[in-house]
Amino acid sequence: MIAPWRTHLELLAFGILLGGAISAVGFTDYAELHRMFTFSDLRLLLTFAAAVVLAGVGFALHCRGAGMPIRRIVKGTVPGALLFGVGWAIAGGCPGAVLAQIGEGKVPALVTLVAILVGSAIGRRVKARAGWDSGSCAS
Amino acid sequence: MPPRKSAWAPTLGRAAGLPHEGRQRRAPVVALVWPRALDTSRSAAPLVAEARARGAFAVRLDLGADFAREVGTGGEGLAALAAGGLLVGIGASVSGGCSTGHGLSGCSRLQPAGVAATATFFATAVACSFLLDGVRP
Repeated sequence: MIAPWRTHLELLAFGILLGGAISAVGFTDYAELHRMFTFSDLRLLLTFAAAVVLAGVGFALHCRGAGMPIRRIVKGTVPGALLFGVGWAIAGGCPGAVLAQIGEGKVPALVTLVAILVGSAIGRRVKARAGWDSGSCAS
Repeated sequence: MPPRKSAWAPTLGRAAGLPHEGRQRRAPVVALVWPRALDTSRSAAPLVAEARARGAFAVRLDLGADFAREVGTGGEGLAALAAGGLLVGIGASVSGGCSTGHGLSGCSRLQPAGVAATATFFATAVACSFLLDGVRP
């Protein structure tokens, strides 16, 4: 089923805001990421922590009264995250940041994007074959 | 009709660097479109300028000096991006989320899967980065 066009427009607006924020805080910059992962600069880590707190307040306000669905740890959660961390440290881009990198004009990020798309297709097959249901971002 | 005067307009106008006569009239509009005008304290201005510089558009064929040193240049760098991207794709898919889905949304809702995945991928990213540093200081 295709969502109504209004939903698409809302998602577009939020996507633009998220991309701008990711870019402005430096999440698209390999050097910044590397300094975060080696703890030589805590700025990005603190920025991310602040974003988590802010999002937590937002979710709490938005979902007050209604129970939020709980995502439990399943078989794929940890092995997938192990691979994700290695890839993130090497390529310097997560699925959201790579789109922002392309928007900033970083041409090599196109390679990362294609690889991520191929990787997620492989990942879906792996999940299906292993019978793991780790859900997706939307669940 | 004369423009409506507000108490904060002159302050915002000054912060935005508008000429004196333009402050009353244009400041509210500027405040909406120009982040610098939102700085009421002087100390925030360099931070905003820094953030604006980070997101600046420029067509680049490299990912910066740090990437070149730690990961590689030319074909080596592109191969690393392909391999890294592949791992990111497989990992995010198998894990059911990435730094946004698990890290931001999951952690902020205190979801068990989000917290576990974030702790895991952050740990491997840290280990991998120190390893890169060790191999290519």
